[in-house]
Amino acid sequence: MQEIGIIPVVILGIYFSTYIALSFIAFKRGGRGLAEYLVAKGALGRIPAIFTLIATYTSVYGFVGLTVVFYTWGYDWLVYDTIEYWTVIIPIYCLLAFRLWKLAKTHKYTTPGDLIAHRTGSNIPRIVYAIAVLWPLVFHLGIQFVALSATASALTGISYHTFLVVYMVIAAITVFIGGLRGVAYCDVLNGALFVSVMGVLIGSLVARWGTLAPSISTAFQSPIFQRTLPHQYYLTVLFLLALPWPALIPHIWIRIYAVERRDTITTSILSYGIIWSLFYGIIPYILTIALTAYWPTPPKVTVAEEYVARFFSELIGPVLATILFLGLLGAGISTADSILQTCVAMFHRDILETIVKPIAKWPERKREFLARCMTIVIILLAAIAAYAPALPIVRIAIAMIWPLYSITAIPVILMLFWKRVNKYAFTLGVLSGAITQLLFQFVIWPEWPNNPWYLWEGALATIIAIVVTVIVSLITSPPPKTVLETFYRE
Amino acid sequence: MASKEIENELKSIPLHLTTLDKVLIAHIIIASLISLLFLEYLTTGYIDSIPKSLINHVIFTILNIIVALAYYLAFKRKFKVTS
Repeated sequence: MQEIGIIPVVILGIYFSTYIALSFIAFKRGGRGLAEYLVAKGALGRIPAIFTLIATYTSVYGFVGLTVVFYTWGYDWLVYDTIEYWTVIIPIYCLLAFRLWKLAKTHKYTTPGDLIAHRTGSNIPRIVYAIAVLWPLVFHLGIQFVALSATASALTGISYHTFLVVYMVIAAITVFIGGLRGVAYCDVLNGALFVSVMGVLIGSLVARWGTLAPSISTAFQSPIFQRTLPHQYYLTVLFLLALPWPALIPHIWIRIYAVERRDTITTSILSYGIIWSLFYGIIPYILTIALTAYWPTPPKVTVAEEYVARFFSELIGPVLATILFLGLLGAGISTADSILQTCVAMFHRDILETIVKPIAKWPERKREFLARCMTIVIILLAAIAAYAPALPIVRIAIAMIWPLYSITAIPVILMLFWKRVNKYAFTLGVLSGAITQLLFQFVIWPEWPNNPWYLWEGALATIIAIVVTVIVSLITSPPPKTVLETFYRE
Repeated sequence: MASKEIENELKSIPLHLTTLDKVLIAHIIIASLISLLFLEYLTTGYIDSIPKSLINHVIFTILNIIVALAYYLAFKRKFKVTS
């Protein structure tokens, strides 16, 4: 342990105690029942709803992950992973969020699978969707813990795996006790801390910019500022990767269900516009300039995500850096527990209760307890993903997680706006995309970008999902009128 | 049972495509094309040793905030009229 080690441990201890206390408060205030545990009965007030919508997005991934990938892999990868955030994500969000909110309120949905089963009139598409989306979600959860643990390890000198266990236990307790409402309450704390701390960190960087300034022009000559990826790669990213992110990533989707009032969705448009622009656009860029000026060649580290914490530790001193980074670490755990809660909800409702039918007939209390216990199952699966990360977290996301999010979202978008899509089209669309993605990635073209035309890694499989959904919709009979009438009831 | 106020809010959101939805779709298509043009001309190379990518980031950040504000106001107005 470094000399400073005991201070962050005490601060983190206090922070986590507050965190768990908030989830207890949520448990007491929200009452009991499966709908309360999974989706806060769709009655989340404006403040926790806005904070949880923002905190679910705004994570260590944005501040640390994107900066590190820019610093180690180059500018192209920052553009790749954020281009939709500063171009098309606001209008896509507007197009989808109000509709999802209305449908959830009208039909009392608790998971994305509820909507899919209702719209298609069958549980098969719900199960297929849940399985296809849960595996990238669990990896997504894993990389959140990687960023958190690496940052905390760099600050304290305590091992990465110790922090991995600590963060996983804290997230699991929060979700086990408080469910979605508990996560949302914690997000208010995290969000307030995050915004304050981020301001101070960026302010401290600006205040010490003079020490970095002589090296800036040299830094700009670094190869990382050169573009190398071809245009067809960006074109396919923009049109295919951007589609699910505004509202159809399951942990965002469920939060839209939890919102009580329409005006919260309206307000979130403006909040997202500011947050996405700053946190996924300007801040990673400024930090990378600073890192490159400070270390023209990246120093040796155990996990690449350590760079940002180490940089601030050397720039403003370890004590101040540690205290400030608490906000960052808080925001990170907010995304992690949001994803964990979503995995638990989907695993319980869309897989367990749907496949093992007698569970759905259990008393409400027993079902609720079983759902809470799923937290342990999911956290153990995430531990496998986070135990030994070989690549920076953004690279893991790029290669494995994002393509499957797009593949699973495409049939949902088609289903929402085109009444011809039926259960066969939806199921085969998801299956064909997911299977071909795995084949392309691991069997046919294992080398990046998993196709010979330098398209985005998930492009071919996503296009296949679109084509299959459309063709099967056209050659099979439309969904029953009764199903469509109840689903699209105005 | 939803309150009367929430019921009114639900009624104010149509599931079919409205004029505002068509504006959103047009925005998605046009913004995609423009951003690709920007990638071509505004991210490669330097202006007085400053990478063009930095200028690109600043422009898009400002545009995104303006766009969010515009849609926020548009939806506020829409709901005020219909509910």
